[in-house]
Amino acid sequence: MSKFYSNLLFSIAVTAVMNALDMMYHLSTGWAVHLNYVAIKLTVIFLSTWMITQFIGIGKEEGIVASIFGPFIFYIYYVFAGATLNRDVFKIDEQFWFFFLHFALMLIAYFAALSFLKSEKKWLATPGFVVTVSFISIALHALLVMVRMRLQGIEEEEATTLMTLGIMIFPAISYAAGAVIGIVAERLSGKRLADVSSACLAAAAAVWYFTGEISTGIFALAFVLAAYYMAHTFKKGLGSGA
Amino acid sequence: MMEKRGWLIQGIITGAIGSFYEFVPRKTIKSMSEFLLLDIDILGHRIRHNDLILAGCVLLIISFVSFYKVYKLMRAK
Repeated sequence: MSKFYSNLLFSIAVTAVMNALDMMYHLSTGWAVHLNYVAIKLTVIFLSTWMITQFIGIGKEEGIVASIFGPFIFYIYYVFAGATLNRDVFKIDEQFWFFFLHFALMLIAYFAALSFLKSEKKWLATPGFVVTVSFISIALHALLVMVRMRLQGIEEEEATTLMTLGIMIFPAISYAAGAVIGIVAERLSGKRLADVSSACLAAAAAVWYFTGEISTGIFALAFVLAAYYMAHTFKKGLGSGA
Repeated sequence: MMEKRGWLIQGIITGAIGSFYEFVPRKTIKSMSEFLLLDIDILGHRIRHNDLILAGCVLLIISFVSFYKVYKLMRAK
């Protein structure tokens, strides 16, 4: 497996986890989550993480540098870009103090993936794995919700109003519970396949139950599969020699 | 793989162009030359001010990583 591909997956994972953590914070505190801004944040954070990972490496120092630099460039974007959402109606994370929040969330995302990748201690690697796979799934789920609204032709500002914690909280719990159930199943059975399959099925069933939509449940299954694939593939590619 | 000098040149060039589009006001750029605003359509999408700002961010990221690479290469010696 090429190192480029593993680096790419590692960077996508870190970006997705950081954005999912950020989205959950925004939704739980009443700040707007808007597809266009999420897309910009994904671009900037991903590019910073991927370039540092690809051309410099993966490690503690690189993680701290990426965690400072990505959110800082994102803050610069906010300062100089023109406003696309009505600031009288929506609260956007453009104040300088959000830089510190984004920095902290980026640290959590990077070090969760790093501990899963490099730590030999199970008590450190397992929580890293749970945070990584569950928040990748949550990020993909949030994107699905926002893209669906866009495809349904819902106006930008209305879609931002509809994107609330109520929409995301139960799927988020489902994905996190799925990842934990997967680990328990693996410990009990001793097989890797039990981990993936029970995590996928548990998360998909829970999402289906909470949303009442079988299509969303199928998407949830695909998201957990994608998250597991990403995590295990970058670990396989980078774990030994990175 | 690029040498230290290559990374340094890349960092300076991308940093200069990125900073120009990021920090110089649109009016100032327009007064220099309208061509610099890249006021064109690409695949049916009109280049807007925010697109230039995002491109500036991308160039600044490339610039920063280049300088960070130079620092790493210097430290490795």
